[in-house]
Amino acid sequence: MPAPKHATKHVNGIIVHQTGGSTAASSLSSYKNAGASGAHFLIDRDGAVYQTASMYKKTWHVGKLKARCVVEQRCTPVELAALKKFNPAAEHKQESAKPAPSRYPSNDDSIGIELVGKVLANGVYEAVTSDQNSSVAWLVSEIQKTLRVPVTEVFRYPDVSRKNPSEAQTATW
Amino acid sequence: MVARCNGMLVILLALGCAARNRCTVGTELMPPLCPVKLPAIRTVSIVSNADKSPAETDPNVSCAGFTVDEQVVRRYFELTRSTNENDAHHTLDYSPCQAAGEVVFEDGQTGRWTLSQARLAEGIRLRPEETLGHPQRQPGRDEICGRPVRPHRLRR
Repeated sequence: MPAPKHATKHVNGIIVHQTGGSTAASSLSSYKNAGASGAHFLIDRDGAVYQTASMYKKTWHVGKLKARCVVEQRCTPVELAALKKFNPAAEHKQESAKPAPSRYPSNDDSIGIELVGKVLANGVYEAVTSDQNSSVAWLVSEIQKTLRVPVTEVFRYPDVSRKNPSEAQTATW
Repeated sequence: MVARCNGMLVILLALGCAARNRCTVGTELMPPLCPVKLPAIRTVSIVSNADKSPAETDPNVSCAGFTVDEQVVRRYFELTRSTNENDAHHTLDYSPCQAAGEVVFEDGQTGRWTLSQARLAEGIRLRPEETLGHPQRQPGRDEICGRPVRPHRLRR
């Protein structure tokens, strides 16, 4: 399992990823490294679900946050001024200071779900399998019910961080 | 370790505080980085510049301004560090703009590289790959990372 960080105080969202690798074994193996990044759940191509960390533990599965107010067109003039210069680190810092749901869910308050899926030679992620989509739909629903996560707070990884736009685009829930 | 990483990847990223002779500790926004020694470069060739990734669907994104020259690529290899692909995947920013080419080292190894914008770069596969592994990780399944080429050294 990815190294659990400190306990998550409250879960505000769910982030759906693809691993970038072609097998579940390769991801599980990488989780053995000390301090490894990783999510709370891993879904194999056949739909098998592995829980790789406690939902009450923080894992490192989200990178620098994008400004949510830009997508939702509700940035204040002060926020827009700060975002004028392209600086992902500063943007992340600014976002991290906001309460949810003014910002996207972060490592501090989200559950991560990884779907096994590699990047094809053309740089695009392979399609999520139907078995994976059945499992992710079930898992998202269960997490939403268990931890009271609003349906509006479930995102594909590229929605919240600067990631390959094709990652998890074919995932449905 | 991610299975698709069956070659050697190179990533160029911000590493201002990293010691040159030991591994750094990874954080939630930066993968662990380890020193790696590459052979001296014999030749660098640039095959493409200002390429837009097929994964980028935004028609407003233009990569016309992202070009690198041989000097930038050589500097990139001078500053490389290694890390593992899983942590890099979770922590590093993606950029749709890329340049690509080939490199030949003095010891005869050759490889292909891809540099992308946003301070980081990725994608070299060297042959034979097993000569470049980090001793603490499986040869051929690590990434090599380096400090950034300063933005003014890139023609944007």
